[in-house]
Amino acid sequence: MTVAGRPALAGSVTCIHNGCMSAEWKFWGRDLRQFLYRRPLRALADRLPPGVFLAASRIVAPLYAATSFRLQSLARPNMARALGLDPGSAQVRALCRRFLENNADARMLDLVLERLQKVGRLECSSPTGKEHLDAALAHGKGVMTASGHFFGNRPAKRCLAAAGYPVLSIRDLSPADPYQRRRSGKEARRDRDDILHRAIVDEVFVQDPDCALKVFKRLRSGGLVDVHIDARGHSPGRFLPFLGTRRAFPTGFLRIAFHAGCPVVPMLCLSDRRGPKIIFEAPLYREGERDAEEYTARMLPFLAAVVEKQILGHPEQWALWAFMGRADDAWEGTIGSGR
Amino acid sequence: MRGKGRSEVEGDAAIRERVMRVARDALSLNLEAGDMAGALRLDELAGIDSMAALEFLMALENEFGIRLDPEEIELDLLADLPRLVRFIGGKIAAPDPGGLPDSGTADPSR
Repeated sequence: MTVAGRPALAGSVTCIHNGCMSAEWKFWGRDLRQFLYRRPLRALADRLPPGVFLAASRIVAPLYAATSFRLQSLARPNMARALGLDPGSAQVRALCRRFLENNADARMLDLVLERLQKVGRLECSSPTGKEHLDAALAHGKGVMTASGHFFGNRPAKRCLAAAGYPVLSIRDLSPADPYQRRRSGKEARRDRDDILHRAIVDEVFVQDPDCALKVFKRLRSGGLVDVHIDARGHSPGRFLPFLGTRRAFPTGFLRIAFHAGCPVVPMLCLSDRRGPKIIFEAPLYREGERDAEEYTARMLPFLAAVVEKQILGHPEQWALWAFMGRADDAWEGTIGSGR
Repeated sequence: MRGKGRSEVEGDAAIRERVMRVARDALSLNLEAGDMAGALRLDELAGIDSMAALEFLMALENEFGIRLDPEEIELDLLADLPRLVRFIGGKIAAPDPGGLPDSGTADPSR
């Protein structure tokens, strides 16, 4: 509803009363940070030798951590709840700082990951538990790796591909928050997607009408597909206890794994300045379940617990601390009370 | 030749009827057989999301006892009904030795 002849003014007044102006200021702050990332830093990354760029970009991480007030305010309560600490405690503050520094480092690495690998500067050590992956692949029905959103994922997949284990990634192109629905946010998102595409290469999008078929094809041809089970769910999700709250987990990936008959291998990718560290756990097989529902009911709580344990073991390496609340809200709105 | 041609047409009709039945069940289409009679594309009858397409593929493999090779799996094949019927007819006529649907991978240690 607008007031005849004065829609803009009426809208502005409403906006001020609702606190939109302060939100606008926050958006402008993000616009500036996004501009710096997308333009000067990206231009430098394209021109400098990748090793030099990464060394120089180390100055960015502490600055980013010190000035990311919005992310701090979002992440600290989630960290405190998960770890049973006070949000204002020194431990949570220190953890939040390391999380934000790792976030900045990962974003800088994304800018040069492709070139870093080309010049042989990405150090790839042999994965721990590689025998688990090989045993699972030996069945010839493909392997689904189940992981969380850790900062080491993208360099790890680059290393795996270089070692002869190309991994198909599944990405979500939907806006993560209101900022990405603004014009400047959309532009930032478009550039970020381009940067991520160059870093990941082997990917499929949940928005593709044939996403599930592409994943299934890769599995049926004996290949690898990685699924972040802590992702926002597009298919009907299932609520489970997670990091001190309840979170909706996607279930579609387990339906695909059931139909493909493939084992699921939990994977953890940690980030290190020297290169990623990859850890595989023992494969999980079908155990005579009659249908995908039964299979999902057994597997999902187990995998959620595995990822939760990984996060609690390496909290500074998990990328979603600042997005837990919003993701839950979105899922509540999409799928109701869950099941 | 004419007799063979008619037989092929009848075979296609039978396959199409089974395909439509599978589609109704797998995609939970609230349509009568008559509503689907002249349809050329499945996506004209209902929106097919990504997971539904996979469920439909699995149901087809079970119904006809066939197994699609990875390079044969594509959304357009599943949506294009005349093409799908011809494709399934060809699969049935020349079965793949390892062509049964997957029964899953059990834990080798068990």
